[in-house]
Amino acid sequence: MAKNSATATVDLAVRPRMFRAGYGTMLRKDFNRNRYLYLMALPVVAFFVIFHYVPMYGLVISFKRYSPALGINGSPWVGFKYFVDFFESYYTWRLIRNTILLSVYSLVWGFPAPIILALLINEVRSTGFKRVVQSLTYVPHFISLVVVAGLLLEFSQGSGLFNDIVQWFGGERIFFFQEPRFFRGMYIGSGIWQEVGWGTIIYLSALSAIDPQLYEAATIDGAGRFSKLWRITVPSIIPTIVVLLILRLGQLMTVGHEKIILLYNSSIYETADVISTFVYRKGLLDFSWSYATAIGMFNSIINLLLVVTANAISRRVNETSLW
Amino acid sequence: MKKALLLALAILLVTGAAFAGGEEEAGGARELTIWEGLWYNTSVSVPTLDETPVYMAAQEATGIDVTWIHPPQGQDQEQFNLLIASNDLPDMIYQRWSREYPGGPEKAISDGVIIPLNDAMEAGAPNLTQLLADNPLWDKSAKTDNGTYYMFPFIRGGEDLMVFFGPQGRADWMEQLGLEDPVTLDDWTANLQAVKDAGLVEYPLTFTQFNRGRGINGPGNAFIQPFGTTWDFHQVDGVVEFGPYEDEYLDFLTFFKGWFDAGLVDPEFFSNERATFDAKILNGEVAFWTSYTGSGIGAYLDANGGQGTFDIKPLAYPVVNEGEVPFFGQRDNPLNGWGLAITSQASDVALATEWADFAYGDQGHLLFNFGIEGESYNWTTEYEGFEGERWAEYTDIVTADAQGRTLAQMGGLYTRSFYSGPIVQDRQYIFQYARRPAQREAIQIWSQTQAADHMLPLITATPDEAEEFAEIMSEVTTYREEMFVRFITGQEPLSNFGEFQARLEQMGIERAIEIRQAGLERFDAR
Amino acid sequence: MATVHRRSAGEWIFDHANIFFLAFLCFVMLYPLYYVAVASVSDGNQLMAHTGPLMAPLGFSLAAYRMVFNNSMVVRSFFNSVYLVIVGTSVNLLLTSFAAYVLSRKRVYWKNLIMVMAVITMMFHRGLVPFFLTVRSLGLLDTYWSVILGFAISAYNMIIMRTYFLTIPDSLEESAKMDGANDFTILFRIILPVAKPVVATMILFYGVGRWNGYFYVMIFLRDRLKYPISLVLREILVANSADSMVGADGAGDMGDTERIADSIKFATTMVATVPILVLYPYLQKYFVKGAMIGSVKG
Repeated sequence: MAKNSATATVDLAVRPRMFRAGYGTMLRKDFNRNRYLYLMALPVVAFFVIFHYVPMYGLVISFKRYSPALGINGSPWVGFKYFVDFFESYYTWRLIRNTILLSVYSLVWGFPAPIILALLINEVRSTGFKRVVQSLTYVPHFISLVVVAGLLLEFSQGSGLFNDIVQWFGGERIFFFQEPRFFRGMYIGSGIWQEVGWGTIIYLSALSAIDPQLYEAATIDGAGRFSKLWRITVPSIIPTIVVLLILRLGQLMTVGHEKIILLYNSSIYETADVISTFVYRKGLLDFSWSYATAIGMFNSIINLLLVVTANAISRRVNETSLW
Repeated sequence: MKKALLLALAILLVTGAAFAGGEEEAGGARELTIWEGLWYNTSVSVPTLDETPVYMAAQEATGIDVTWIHPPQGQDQEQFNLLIASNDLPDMIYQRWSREYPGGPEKAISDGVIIPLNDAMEAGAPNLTQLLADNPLWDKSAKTDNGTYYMFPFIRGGEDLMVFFGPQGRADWMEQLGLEDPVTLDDWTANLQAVKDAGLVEYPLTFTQFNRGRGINGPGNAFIQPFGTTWDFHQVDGVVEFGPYEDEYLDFLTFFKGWFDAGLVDPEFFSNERATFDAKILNGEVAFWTSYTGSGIGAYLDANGGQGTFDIKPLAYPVVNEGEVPFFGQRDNPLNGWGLAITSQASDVALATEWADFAYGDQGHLLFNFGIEGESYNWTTEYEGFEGERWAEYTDIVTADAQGRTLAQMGGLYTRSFYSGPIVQDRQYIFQYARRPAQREAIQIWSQTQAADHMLPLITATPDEAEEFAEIMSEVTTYREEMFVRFITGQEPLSNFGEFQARLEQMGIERAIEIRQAGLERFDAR
Repeated sequence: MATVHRRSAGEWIFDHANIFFLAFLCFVMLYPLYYVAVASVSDGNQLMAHTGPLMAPLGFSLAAYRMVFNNSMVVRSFFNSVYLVIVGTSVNLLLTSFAAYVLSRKRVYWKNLIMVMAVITMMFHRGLVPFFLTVRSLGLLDTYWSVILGFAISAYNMIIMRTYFLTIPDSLEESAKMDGANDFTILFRIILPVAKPVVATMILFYGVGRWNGYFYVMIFLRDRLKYPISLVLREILVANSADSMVGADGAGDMGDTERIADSIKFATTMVATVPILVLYPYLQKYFVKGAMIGSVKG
């Protein structure tokens, strides 16, 4: 203790006098002037520290063999054992492949959908109809995942609504959640159903920000409706599209487990099992807490790298950045 | 402004108060906490066992106030896992220790989750001690290899209680088409084809996977066993085998794929949820299936009572050639691994022991099997077909609820015998639960297999073995389930069976078999 | 100008096709909900036997609703959810507006620190097991506070709110300062009243999240009496699979209950979904504006 404070004194003594005085005073002065702001920030900081950073400290159990009786600190170190185990597992590459494919397909199909919808809504002349379409397409966003998954399973049974429709068009009945090849389609399709309307908000607001004079000028030049769409409307939302696209790229390895767990069964693990569901099973069914935490952390690190990369690209290309 | 400040402070205080809120130990109170999954037939009527008549009576009889902790339905496994991870344990846990704790009971003890009960039982469990002394097989199954008792077990008190699952089919349709009860697999093929050809159903045979993503109750052993193997571990003359790793399993796959390709099996057989499965049977979309005596035959007949000709009969486990005894069938061990254990954090071990032992005495036995005398049961000497024996007969309160609740739901309120519990299950329960002739016949027909010779007893592993075993099997089970569907549906050609076996070997299946073998030998030596 | 412009044939076709398509889309968006509503009041037997799309109720029966409202779990959990949403959303609003206010003040030079702290949490997830262990060691297991505090601020929502606050002219704050107001007064008396759209957006985002959220509640709560409706709904919709777990002989009769089981599912779904749909139109007129401004500039 004494040694520490001695070091501190030496440290301070080395620094320029003025700076030392300035620093302390500045802080005190700032605190006095803005003490209510500090008071407001206190619970905010407390929240992030307690509920995010303390659990992040708990991630050390990835390198330990966590035993509840010994606690996080008392559990023995095992180094990179669980990371090695993961890469040696038979399922590793399938998990990574499924995660990326599900994510890429979601991007390919799910990303353009709200853009197209927004453009279509934007072309509607009647404001009343426009507003109705907007309000109604937002609704699915607010429906519980449990309900969405429950209905999806209900409708896709052999005797369910989807098959009634398939049959009505003269098709053969399909067992949607029995065959691996349908899973991605069902997952992504229901995702689009739920989120496409919601996704238009941001594009519609970008569209509404377009200067009407541009259209007027184009009309005078004799441009038709479609050429205005291509030459004015679309280009003006390109920046928004790029920002969102980059953000999405950063999420490429992120596929949440909640919806998949509600939907899948072992006959379609081939396409449906992703990293997060595997983590869930390991951590909550197999008692492999450390293993699960290790894989989860591996996934988080990849996410972080992707976001940082995406952000760097964004800053260069678009001069937009998250931070 | 002051108000806002106060609000902020209040938030912090509440937060702080919650952080500081530790446990308060009640000194001397006769109170216990028990963690256990709530049976879905009970959860229909009450949110916790606290509110069931049977436990209110038990509290009165013992003077012990039990608080129950129940996981969400279908989340038993996850919540048990979190409970262990939290190291914040109740006094007692009711669980299938032999299987659900990775590493088994010995590991649970060495991990400091539960405690050995030898001393506690000697000091305060005269009823159970006496029962185990009278029944050597029960005793052998109730402890680990090194002689440690670890739970107050669920005991099936008679052969009639151990068999409750098997093939069944639509009796009315079989009669209509003039079909004999199938005995051999060829008979089965003929029957399935006949029902399909008659246009009664599109797919005659179905199964259900009760529990999404974890294990299949599916074709289970009923149609695998004729080939002399099973879906899981079994023994042949003291040698442990893993069914899917045996060559006979290919014979089964080839045969079953034949059925599947011929449209004799419901394409959804692997993913059917219980409700879907039930609906298919009740709607007459299928003709044959495997299910239980109670929630199968009994429940379907109850539900479709009086609707058309709907009728069900139990069918024997199939064989290849007439005259053979089925290699395997459903049969439970008298002790199936479920039991109530005392945790290392129990505040009063003697009190917990007293509570648990109550169920094994005369008073507890009657209470947990039949409920409350004069309310849920009455004594009688004449029970249909069982002259001369003294019978505890369920009253109308249980068998004919005024609100239309089912027998099982009422049983869930007044007894533990209807599902399972730290009790000795009484065979008088099953004869009243299985009231119909078809159900009684089922028990009789399904009992005639070599299951008793081929199934593994309730063996335990050493902690090290158990962990290794759990690691191997977690991959193996997923792989087995997946490949089963892929083989049957043709996504994977049967010619790849060799690779399937090789992959199993690579995953360490031989080591797993070795561990089971060692366990079996130690069990026999107990 | 618009009147001068005459629509070409191509445009006429496009306009009509577009309207037709969007109307069809609205139908697709709403049909599942309509189906649920219609099925929930249908007669159980007819529903079970029916195949094909439903356009009108098959028969009419409120039996399923009677079962649902007679079920003590459903009713209790409904009120639990109401409590959880009110208290939870209040905490969310309070803390998120504190955070957004601090982050939108120019005079705070340490605000970037908080921002970075928050943004990191968007990408680097607290592991489920470590999060659980933290909640446990705080003594919050089996309390609503586990989820109320554990999800007190969403970094994403915080950024939206902050962005909105940035659009409010500084002059408002400065004149209040002149009158001797402190930051709490400024936030509650001046900023929040002019930020109604974003407040409505937050209420909707957080409130819906609280109402629908089931996963962490399932992880943290032990007492069945505390279940919110989302968890009960989960049991009814997706987890009719508990018997093999209990290890009994799966003894379970069905009787009448089974025959209206589908209707019960749908009725419970309605009970769990209708409150949101009722609240939605009231907040909708605000939240679009709030979400737009918040997200575009963010």
